[in-house]
Amino acid sequence: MAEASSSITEKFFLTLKSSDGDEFVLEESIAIQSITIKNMVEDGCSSSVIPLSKVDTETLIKVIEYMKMHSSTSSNEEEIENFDKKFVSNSINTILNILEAANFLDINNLLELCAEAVANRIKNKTPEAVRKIFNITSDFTPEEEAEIRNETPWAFEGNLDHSLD
Amino acid sequence: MGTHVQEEIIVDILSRLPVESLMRFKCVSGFWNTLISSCYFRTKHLNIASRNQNLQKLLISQISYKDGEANTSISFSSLSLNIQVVRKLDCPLNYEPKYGRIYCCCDGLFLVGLQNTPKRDPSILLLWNPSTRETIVLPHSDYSTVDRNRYTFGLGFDSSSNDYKVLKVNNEDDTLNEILSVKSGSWRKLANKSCRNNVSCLFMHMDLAFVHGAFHWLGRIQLPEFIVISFNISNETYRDEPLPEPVCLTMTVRESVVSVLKGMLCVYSTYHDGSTFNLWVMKLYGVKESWSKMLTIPAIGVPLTIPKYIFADGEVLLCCEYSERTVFRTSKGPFIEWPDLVRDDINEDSILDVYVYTQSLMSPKAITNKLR
Repeated sequence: MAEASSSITEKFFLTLKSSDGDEFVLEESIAIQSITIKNMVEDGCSSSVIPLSKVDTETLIKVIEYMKMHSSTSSNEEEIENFDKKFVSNSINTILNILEAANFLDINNLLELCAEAVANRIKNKTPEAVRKIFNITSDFTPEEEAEIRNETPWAFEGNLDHSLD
Repeated sequence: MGTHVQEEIIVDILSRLPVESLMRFKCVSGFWNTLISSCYFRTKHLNIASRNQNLQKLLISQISYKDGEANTSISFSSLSLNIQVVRKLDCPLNYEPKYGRIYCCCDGLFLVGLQNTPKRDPSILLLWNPSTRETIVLPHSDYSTVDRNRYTFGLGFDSSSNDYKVLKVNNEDDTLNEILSVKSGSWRKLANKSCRNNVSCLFMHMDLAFVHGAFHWLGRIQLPEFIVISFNISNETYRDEPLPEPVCLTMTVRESVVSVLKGMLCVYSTYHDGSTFNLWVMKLYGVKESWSKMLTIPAIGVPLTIPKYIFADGEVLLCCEYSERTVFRTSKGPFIEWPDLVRDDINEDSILDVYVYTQSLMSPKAITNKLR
């Protein structure tokens, strides 16, 4: 496809629509960092608006910010590194929403960045704090939970973090 | 607070956590407990952990003597050489060994030999995961009796039978070599012989190097020519691997050792007087032409230097035996006295060794189906 690759000056745009109904116009070359969107483009499903029913506006804005920074031409390595550092300092809740979006949109770098960030933030937390963050209700009886704790008491020692963020 | 998070995202996050956190989070819910305890998750976690610098740890084993009694202690450190914890070996049945020698580490599992007298073959072999603190006693071989320091042991994973195996190599006669399938718990004598009349050159401080599904150690065809002997863990056959030309002709036995760095077979040597340290790596496994010199340190001044790890920036962590003490340095930097280890109970006889390993959930009990 020599003709296609030579016409680099021509730009295509896509319109992404969040679950809240807000529309965002984005250069196709940036948007196809999402494999889900790339597949839609290749299947010819992208002529109109692309509805992203699982991504709310707040999250979509963050994801687009990320994709713009990480599109190959515009940013240097140091800029990207600083951006990523700041990006994962959002609240755990926000990062979890971005993770869901990254998973749905199939953006592997973003998925890894956020999964690593959440892991770092929760690694010293108590099980109780983790339950609250992930909205989990324990299905153990107190006896069952005590038994698991007794298997590895050393894992519950030290200064554990009770905070929810 | 709190959103409902999909299961596959939970798996993605948890597979990036240290083992201690995962042990704690087993009591979050039934699903988390089942997931963290599953074979699928153990393997996924290991694959991610082996590429994650934060989940690499240093284990320092130290045998020291006080009032004629030996004592083995284990210290753990991050890769930045900050000692974090000092512990004992996790021995089953309150067995207090006098000497615990670590042979090797594979997938976060350590093969440890316990002895009551130094410089003898171990009376008990342990499979130990220091991250989960789980230990099992491996079955004893029926074929050979405990002998005077004649065997070296290696641990590797055989992907074709999905099993860990322990290789027992006799330092002089390879017809005495045996192998243990950890899953079945049975030792076998090896039917094959190595292809030539090689003489293995193993010394007490040397370990078998496991890479590309094979154990490796130094062999001698005839003085002064050396080769690497390899033993394939799956089809259980021996092979010769070539050494780099300058090494196989000029080296002397005691100062040259085969090892593994960054998944590559390597050989290193220091000349008699401690003048020059050379480190070679085989970039393409099995291809003689791909041997290349990775590091040369002229006038290193120590008779024994062992490369232990290559950092992301290419720096090599070196463990040096230096006037009866073990010290560390990087390839560029000066010697570092290991900060907290220089204590009163360390004397000239102290034996110090260091291993870089990946924190893993691999369970010795699950491998041998001893899990309830």
